[in-house]
Amino acid sequence: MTTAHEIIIAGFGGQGVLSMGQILSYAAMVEGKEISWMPSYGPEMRGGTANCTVIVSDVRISSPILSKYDSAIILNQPSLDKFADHVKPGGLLLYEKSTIINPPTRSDIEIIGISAVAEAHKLTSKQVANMVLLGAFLSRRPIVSLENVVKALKQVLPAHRQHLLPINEQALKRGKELVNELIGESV
Amino acid sequence: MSFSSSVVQLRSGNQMMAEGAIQAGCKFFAGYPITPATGIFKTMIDLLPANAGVALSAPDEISAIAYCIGASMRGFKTMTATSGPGWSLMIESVQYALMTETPLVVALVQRLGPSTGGATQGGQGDVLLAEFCTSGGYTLPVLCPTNAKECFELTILAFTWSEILRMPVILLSDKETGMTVESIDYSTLSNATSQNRPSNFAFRDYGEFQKEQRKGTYYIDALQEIPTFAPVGGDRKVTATGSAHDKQGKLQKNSPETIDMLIHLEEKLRWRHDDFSLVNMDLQESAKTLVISYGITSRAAKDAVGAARNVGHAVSSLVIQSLFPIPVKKLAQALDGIERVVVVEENMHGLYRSVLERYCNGQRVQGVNKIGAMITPKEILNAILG
Repeated sequence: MTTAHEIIIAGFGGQGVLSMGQILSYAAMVEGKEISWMPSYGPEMRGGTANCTVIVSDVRISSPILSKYDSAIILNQPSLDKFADHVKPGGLLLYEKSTIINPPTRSDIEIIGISAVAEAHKLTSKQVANMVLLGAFLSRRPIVSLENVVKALKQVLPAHRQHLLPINEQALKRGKELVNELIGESV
Repeated sequence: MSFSSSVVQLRSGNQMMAEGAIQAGCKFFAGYPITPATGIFKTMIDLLPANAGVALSAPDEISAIAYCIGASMRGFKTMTATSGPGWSLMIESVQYALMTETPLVVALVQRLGPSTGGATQGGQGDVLLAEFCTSGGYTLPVLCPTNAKECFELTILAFTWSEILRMPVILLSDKETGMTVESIDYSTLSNATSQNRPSNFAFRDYGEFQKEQRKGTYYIDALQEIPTFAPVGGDRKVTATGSAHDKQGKLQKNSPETIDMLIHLEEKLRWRHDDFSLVNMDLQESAKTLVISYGITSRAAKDAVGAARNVGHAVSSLVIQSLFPIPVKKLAQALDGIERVVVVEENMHGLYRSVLERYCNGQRVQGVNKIGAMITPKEILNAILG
């Protein structure tokens, strides 16, 4: 019955959590999917927690929230504590390693930790850590193609940020590679 | 942020309300930014000047709505947008618009109350504050969209009603409806604009003009009629006061004509009540349970109703878009054969349920209520099956 994929992306304000969801949404729109992107954040200007729920579906979406997620992309400990139990059995939990003190322990879901911030630093821009994570996510759940994510980035980035396109593209690819290396190791 | 090559775009409910307003012919917007209504304000500031309109950032909400009333009195279609705390400030002036028969659309994007409450949290706690904000207890039309597309469509409708009736209309949205971004297929949107207020003054000669002039600003032959609009600053003298007045617009105490004019304010809407009923009915003949919902919660309700039917449980659904005036005929139709009514809303005690209960004859009425978080399909399903 369900052709929808529901993702929670959660972390602190400023980590690019909402943008990651937006870019994923645009890419899915390019592919002709139905989208719902629902932001949730605190009243603080900076810091505070932020998350967004993205649903990508082949059919029209009714409720923008459901009680369980197919995937979670987590960028801080409070979000991990809050959402780890809400991933469906068999689902995916992807997290940014440096921000997590107590890693998730569930055995009925796929858990992948990525050093996205460190990788972003290597690419000389810590701001692209979210794209490293998105690349990693899409490697395991190819709900949209990387090409369309890049297309979406072109549309989403304002004119004065277009020069950041190549580094974002690199970050996406690096995320994909990281996951492939990880999976390769475990096999 | 647009894909000009595609007719499908990602849009928030707030953006769609602004775009709906522009398509409806709105030429003046004044607002004061407030989460979660700021998206409407920002989109109007971005788009309205390019559409031959004026968008103003007002110093506060009281000024914002007052600017709008002034512009509407001059003949322009106007809109403002706010959330709970700002609405509290606008309540005095929205009554002035009602009393002076000035068309106006107010988008009220609800957030968690009371007071400044939760600026970034949703809620459906302003339903009765929107409706029962007038001293005297007058009915204000309240329209409630459930998604971004309906934000567009109902905004155009809100302009039509406000123009036809010459009265303020409230568009009751909420944080999740306003700020959730969805895919919108522009090819499925209507090209219709809104209707205009009755204003036909093509005088053949000065004598006719004088005759019309003597009739007064609010001249009507029957209580349900809508007085013909003349703009302030036009050929004709216009009198406007928030105090009780006669057909000339002159302040009067308790003259029969003045009382008639007060009754007229309610009667003009009551007369057209059925035309304005707007619901989505999804009835099952054998159903004994009816789920009533509105706004964002109706989307979870839709999922829940589908899930209940999947397990063989017959259930009917009524999504109400025109919350006020209450669509009594359609409600009665949906209640036919029903034994139990479940009203789903994101507030503490069931605000809308409290006004619906009097229309339920013998049915058991229960609520699914919650504050601080959205109601999930599962919670509604439990109530349906329980």
